[in-house]
Amino acid sequence: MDFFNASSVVDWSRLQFAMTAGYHWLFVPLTLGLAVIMSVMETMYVRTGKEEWKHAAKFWMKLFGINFAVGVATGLILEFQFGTNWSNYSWFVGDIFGAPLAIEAIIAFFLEATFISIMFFGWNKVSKKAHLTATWLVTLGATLSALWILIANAWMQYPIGMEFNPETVRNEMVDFWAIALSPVAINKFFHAVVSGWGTGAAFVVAISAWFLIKKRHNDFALKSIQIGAIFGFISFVLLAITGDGSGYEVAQKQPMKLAAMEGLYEGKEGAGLVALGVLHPSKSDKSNYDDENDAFLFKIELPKLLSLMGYRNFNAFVPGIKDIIEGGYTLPDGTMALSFEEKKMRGEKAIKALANYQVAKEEGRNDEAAGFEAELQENFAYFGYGYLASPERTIPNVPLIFYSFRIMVMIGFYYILLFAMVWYFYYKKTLTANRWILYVSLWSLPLAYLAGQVGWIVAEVGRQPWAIQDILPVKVAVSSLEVGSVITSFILFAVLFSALLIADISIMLKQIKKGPEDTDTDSVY
Amino acid sequence: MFWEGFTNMTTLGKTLWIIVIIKLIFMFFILKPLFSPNYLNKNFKNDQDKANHVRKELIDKP
Repeated sequence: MDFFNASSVVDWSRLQFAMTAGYHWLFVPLTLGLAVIMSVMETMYVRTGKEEWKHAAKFWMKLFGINFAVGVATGLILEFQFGTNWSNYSWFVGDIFGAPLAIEAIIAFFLEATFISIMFFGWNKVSKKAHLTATWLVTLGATLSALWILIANAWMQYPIGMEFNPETVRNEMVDFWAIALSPVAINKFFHAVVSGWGTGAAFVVAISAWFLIKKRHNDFALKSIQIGAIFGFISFVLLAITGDGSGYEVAQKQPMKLAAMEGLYEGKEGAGLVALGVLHPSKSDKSNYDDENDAFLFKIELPKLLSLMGYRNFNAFVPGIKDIIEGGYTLPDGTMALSFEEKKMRGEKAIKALANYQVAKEEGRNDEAAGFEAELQENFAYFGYGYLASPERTIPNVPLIFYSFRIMVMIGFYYILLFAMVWYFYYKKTLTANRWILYVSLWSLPLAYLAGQVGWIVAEVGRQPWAIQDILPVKVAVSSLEVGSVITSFILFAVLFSALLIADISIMLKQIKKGPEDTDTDSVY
Repeated sequence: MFWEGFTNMTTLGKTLWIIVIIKLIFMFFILKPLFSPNYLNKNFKNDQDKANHVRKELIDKP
């Protein structure tokens, strides 16, 4: 499925979700990143008593406020879509998805809403320390908002802690902590939040560079760029570390996604990580997954690093797409990998057992119903395979994932280098003399946003065809809607988000041009 | 503090509140009911009917 070939309800529903999630993720990372930076600056103010830090904190707080106000509640559009476009999914996941979202609304949103008022209106009304506490609590609230939705997302990638109830046709939560503390959730949370920090830092460095280029508010800009560069450098190093953790989790729980990220069709021991490469065009056709062509026209590989990343062993076997479909290799837990055909057979058994269970229940044959339920539970881990007609249906869009992954990683390393250089020139007091680094910092800002977007493409397109890994494919998760109604809502959502983005950018640009206030006022609002 | 904060709000603050209010009205009074209703709530009366529908979808989709 791609944008130009979208024709079905599932295609348009996926596009709609991707578009709205993509727009939403333009607002969220800046909120997460600016929240920490303004909190750090206010901490510097409280510790040193220097008014310059207060002015800096208030300026970034103002931009945080604009981004927060315009972006807030845009995530609710995604929740609308769960109920409209993905109703089978929404019902099927039951309280597992609902509980984290409810906790998010109750705890995180109210935490933010309460303390954001003190943060904006409380200057000179509450003590310095009370105000600082409120600012950090806003940051905590924003971060916790991300936590719960990422836990829900992680469950879709690695469903655990639940039991399927054939009576209600819902998955019921049996172990909250297994879901909340799943290794996939923890890694996803840190990786996503830290990417927000990186985006916030890139934003602060870019805007500060603009002030220095324009020779306006130099002291403020230098203070900001100092914090931005250090925070950004730390964030992108942490991103590399958490990214490595994500790679490990993907290898263990979603080997097909890892194979797609690497364009790995034939598995091998001591597999290398492709640093750069061009995929063979024939592989764009998924049915050619087992043809004789080499997967690459050209590649530069870092020997054995994929085995190390995925299995913490230089010589570990990393299964390719062909291996995952054919099975027969040893899994990390020592069991033998099943082939697609075996998984499909088990999935079909589970679906048939669900149907038989219902008939037996209706006819009062409770003993037989119990037997069908047992058969369903026994094969439930492969439930979704029963809907897939052929093995190539299990393969995601390899070129999109492969190139997206490389763009994300390259931007990550680029920013580590950029922040290190900015900090070096700042430390040597030659930042303003080297105007080229200021221009590079300014014009690199879109790359930080691009990295976040392609990162989500890797995570979400990489798990296709699944809405819930191995259990529910997107084609079954989708509602029975008319395609026209999905296209209409797609257009409306696109118009709304575009208008919000234009408002966000234009209001922020106006405030940036005005610059920080040199005199203290009661409120930045 | 809140009352004083709201009454002394700058043009920027007022603009942002207007955006938030218009956005929420558009989302909850136009988009949600007219273009993004909950499919199961709209088409089925109770949980049993919803469960039966989803079961049918799961069984019939192959």
